[in-house]
Amino acid sequence: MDEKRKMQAILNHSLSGLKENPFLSQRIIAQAKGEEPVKKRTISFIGIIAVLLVLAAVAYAATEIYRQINWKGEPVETITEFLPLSEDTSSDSDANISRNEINDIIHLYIDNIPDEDYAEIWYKSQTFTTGNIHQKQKNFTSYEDFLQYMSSVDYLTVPSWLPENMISFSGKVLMESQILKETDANPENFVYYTNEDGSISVFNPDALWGYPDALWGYYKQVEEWENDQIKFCRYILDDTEAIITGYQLTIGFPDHSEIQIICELSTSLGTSFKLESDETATPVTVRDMTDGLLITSPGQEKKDKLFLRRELNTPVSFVSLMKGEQTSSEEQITIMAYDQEPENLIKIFSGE
Amino acid sequence: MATVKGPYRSADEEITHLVETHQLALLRLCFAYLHDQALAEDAVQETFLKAYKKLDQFQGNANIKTWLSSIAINCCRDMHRGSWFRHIDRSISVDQLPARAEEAIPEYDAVTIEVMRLPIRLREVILLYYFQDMDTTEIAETLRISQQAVSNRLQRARTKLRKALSEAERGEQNG
Repeated sequence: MDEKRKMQAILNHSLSGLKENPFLSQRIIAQAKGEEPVKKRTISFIGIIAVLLVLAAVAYAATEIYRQINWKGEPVETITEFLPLSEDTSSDSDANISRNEINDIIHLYIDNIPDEDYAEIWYKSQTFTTGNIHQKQKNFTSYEDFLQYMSSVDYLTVPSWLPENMISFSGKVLMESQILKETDANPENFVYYTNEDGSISVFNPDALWGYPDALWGYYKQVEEWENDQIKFCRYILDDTEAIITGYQLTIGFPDHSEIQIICELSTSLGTSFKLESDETATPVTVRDMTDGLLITSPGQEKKDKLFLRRELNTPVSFVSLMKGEQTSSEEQITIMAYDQEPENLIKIFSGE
Repeated sequence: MATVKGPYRSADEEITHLVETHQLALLRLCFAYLHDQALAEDAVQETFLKAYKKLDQFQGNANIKTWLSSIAINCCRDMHRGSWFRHIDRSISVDQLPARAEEAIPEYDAVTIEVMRLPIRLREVILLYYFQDMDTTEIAETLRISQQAVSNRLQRARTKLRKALSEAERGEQNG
């Protein structure tokens, strides 16, 4: 048997437990003709949680129906999503600890990571897996300091106006590596790979927790430990090696309400949005932005959201510890607030 | 309605034929790439949906398996890049392989696991070359990289798999 046939036989044997879906062609045809919108299980983190909850045998009964719309506010498809009857109470029977408790512990670790460090932490058990990351960041409590820091970054847009009655400001600028370089973590185990452009990628095939193939860029590992169920890694990314890839701002008001602004370089274009039955979507024009979509709801229970995107004149490349080499040709901004005048949300970036 | 260049088949008939012929191989490809059965099923569904919508663009002289594999690998890449992967554990072990009716061959499973543990760039080349039976030219077109890069990646992947493959061969000879 030649090498190819042998390898095919091996893979086919090992994966022979996978079974065909006899109804797949009907589903494809129905979906293509718009008769049967098929819910994708991978659409959102909410979806992930829902799947995990099903696995944990939490009862489900209620469903939520919402529309997916495009940047123009036009409907794309209708989604039915299952909602849990109770809060997330899945727990690890071995350790007798709930997911919420685990997430609290993980947050505690993450909160204590120095701003300039990059860290990942994972919890894994028979019942569920969860984790979080801490990106290298610089924090600000002054809008002026933030603007000063961002003045040299021409590929990200900063607010041109903030409401006069704001009483607090907090912001963090997030960074990734801009240099593809060897990393010094367990170098004897690494696979060194030359890319088409002559640059070098480094893979750590033994890192089976988290991201086995994602040790790209200059992230110097300074701490690593694991016990039976938790794995922790911390890396240093020098300022000279870092590139700004986004920022998050929170603006506070006397009535304790907030406006949140998230700006990031986007590498997978967002093309649709969730619109619930009581929400209204309006395309808006905001200076310099390619697209704008305002989603509002009448009450105060839901946040109003303004989504903006702008195509970059020059794509920006960076190296993410989590996702490898990335090239972004788009900036995406999300502004969220409870009970704010929609005009104010638009004015933040239009300045008018 | 889109029709494919072929003998007297409507698009519905053509996609039905494609699903019947290629679903299982694509499901195995996507599972080996993504390490997750539900995600793999989504990727296969997305693949055939895209294929259905592009049937009229398919060049009749091209290899349909290559074409579908290209769509599938790009669906997998999209999923792999997505935020979903920030929240799941991607490690894989033998006990996570789908349960089989037939008896397991540990040496075979060891090779499969080694393939699935390869860094993603090496893994996708190996899967397309060995599993989807593509040649290096087709892989280069699918992954939009040079043929030399494909050869380099294949070489690196083979080096990493050599030990597991040798053990599989020894197991066969002994068994």
